[in-house]
Amino acid sequence: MDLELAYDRIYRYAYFRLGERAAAEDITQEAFLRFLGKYGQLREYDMRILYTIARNLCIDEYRRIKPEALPEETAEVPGLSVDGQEERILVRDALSKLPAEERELLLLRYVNDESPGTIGKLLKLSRFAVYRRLKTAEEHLRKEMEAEG
Amino acid sequence: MKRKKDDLDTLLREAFAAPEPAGREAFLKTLRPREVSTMQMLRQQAAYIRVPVWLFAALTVGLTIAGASVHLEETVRLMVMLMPFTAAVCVLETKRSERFGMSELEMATRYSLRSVILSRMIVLGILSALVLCICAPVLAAAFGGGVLPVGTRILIPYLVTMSASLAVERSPLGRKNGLLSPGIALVVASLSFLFGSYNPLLVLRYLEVLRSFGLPIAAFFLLLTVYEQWKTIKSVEAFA
Repeated sequence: MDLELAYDRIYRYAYFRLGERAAAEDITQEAFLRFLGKYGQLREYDMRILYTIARNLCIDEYRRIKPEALPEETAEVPGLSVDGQEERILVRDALSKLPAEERELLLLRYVNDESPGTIGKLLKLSRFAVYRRLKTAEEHLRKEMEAEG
Repeated sequence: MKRKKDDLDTLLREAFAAPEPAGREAFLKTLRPREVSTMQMLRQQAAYIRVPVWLFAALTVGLTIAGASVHLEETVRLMVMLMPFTAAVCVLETKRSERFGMSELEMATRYSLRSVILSRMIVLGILSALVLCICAPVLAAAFGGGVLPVGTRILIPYLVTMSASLAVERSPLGRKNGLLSPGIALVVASLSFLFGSYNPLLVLRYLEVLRSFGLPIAAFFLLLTVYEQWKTIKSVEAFA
């Protein structure tokens, strides 16, 4: 796994779990330092281990800051039309109504492109359970989007 | 909705677009791999080994040469008693990171703690082998008995101490207590001393055994030591 890509994925994951840019960045860096402390650069960046470290750090931080459902601050998406912006707000509203576990699944699978195997190992679920829960999360998201739209 | 609802990936990517992290580039710059060869790694770790360790090894060799040059009969026994302490010094030096809070520093150098400890073990192993390779022929030349029996006679207490110390240092008691390895060395050295003083006939029998089976016995303890080192490397987070 490429270092930059791994960093972006862990940062995004931490950011959407905590909703704070600085805290997410600290956790991302701490996750990499812990990974390197244990395995060094002789080993390729293992996303499952990085996610596990970041997830545990997020849980500790979550208890401390109690973040909102979905962070207010997000990045500008270049080239997005007015309709696209509206759509994005609609999806974010729908996402904010989903349980945190479903948001985590959708982020890992559709945004961070993690395989069901990696997600399963991280969340201690079988592949089948990951597929099933993803399906449920998608259905919930679509329902929320329809209700919003 | 203007776009298809099933374009879920794109919709989610846009919704989950996170703000740019401020310190990303600076941090990644520190993480990019530094090319380092095995020899460079060993040289770096050799530089980290404290002066008293080198001095102890030099003192052992010096005493051997001095004792051999004046034909002091007790030199071999002295060496047999010194080798467990050489092993204890090596184990303590390997374990130094935790005792002096160096784990963080080593982490910051971007090498895994495992590779650092493995390199240190190799350097200390080479140092011990050098001591043995100098002392065994010197003692054999001065007092007779052959290089192999003399070599195995001083090597076995070293290996016994090394394997026992590594096993004990991994235990919860060993992690709390910094004096277990010297304690084991003291026990092995005392036993060697008592064994030699109690009955000289026993020593002669022991030397005969070493002449016949010294190599397999030493090989057994060497394998045991390598096994303990491997286990130490495996559990390095708890150890260091």
